[in-house]
Amino acid sequence: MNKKKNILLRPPVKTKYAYEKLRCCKNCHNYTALGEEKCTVCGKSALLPVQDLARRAAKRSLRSDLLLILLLTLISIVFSPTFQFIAISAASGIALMILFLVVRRKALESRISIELSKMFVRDRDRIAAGLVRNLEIAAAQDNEARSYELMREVAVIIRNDHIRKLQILLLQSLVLRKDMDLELEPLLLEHFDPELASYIGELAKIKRELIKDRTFQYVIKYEQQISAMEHGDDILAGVAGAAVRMKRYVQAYAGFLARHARKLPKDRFLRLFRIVTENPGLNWGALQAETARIYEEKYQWDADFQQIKPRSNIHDV
Amino acid sequence: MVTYGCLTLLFLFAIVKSVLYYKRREQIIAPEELDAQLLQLINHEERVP
Repeated sequence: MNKKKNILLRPPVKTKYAYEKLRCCKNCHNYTALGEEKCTVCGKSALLPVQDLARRAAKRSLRSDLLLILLLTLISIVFSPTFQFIAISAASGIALMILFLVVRRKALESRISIELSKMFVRDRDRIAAGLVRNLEIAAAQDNEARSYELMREVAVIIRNDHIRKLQILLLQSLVLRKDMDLELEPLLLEHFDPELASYIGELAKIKRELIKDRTFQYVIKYEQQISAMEHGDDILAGVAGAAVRMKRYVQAYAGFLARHARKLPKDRFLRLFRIVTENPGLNWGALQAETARIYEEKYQWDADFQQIKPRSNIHDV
Repeated sequence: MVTYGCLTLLFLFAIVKSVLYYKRREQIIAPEELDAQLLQLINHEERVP
């Protein structure tokens, strides 16, 4: 049996948009999504975020227009026959340059977005090659945690089951802790995977807030396969315990909860019992009867269950 | 003559370019669209993030 390593994961560098991860080397024009200081291809400290490069390109194209205006103004001044013409040429040139600068400033943001879009299309293969190189760097790390951290950065842009599976395998080689910055929904695969199911089971114990709709749907879809795993029933009970967090989840996955309510620990069952009892008007299906049955069998004389009274407001925990 | 020509060109150029920039200002590509474009180009498919 593999021994899990106790290494702390560093929090990811979060960006609002995936493309904000991308940087390009000014020197060799290779792309990267990792946070390295020097370009891994040419070794120079010339990496710039793609937004900065697009801004430079936008400014460059606008600057050449401005230079043309300046040139035309100078020619008209040089060839002016009288002082009056010189004044008219200079005044026109200055006025038009000011007008142009005002319009340019307003158009800059749209120009940057157009340059970025052009850059993505033009450099698509180069970006893909850079990301593959990033993955190779991540895979070559000795330390599983560092390898996962780098892969996580690349996975923001490259989204496929292969990279997700690698991330899950790396995470499963580590001792997971509540204070780690973990993720689940971006790692969900299209098909059933026992490693992913185990990972979900671990998260149900340490970070149940990460278990949301897509995970419940995944677990329900592959319920039989998970149930057939060595600790599959524990995983399913853990996920059921996570569903009890919110009344909405209990309602949406009532059938799944009815099947696994019996394995819930007391605190999770108490929460489920409270939600079902205090909302008798909602349609709980088989869950209502199952909760009542478990209550009568196991908790009828438990003092914690005696205080539950019908009420409308349930706060999520 | 050269001055007249240059001034005409100057005005024409500045006006045409200003109109073009003004129109382009409305064609801004939203960051969400840029993001989707990049992901689509790299992954060849659009998936729920």
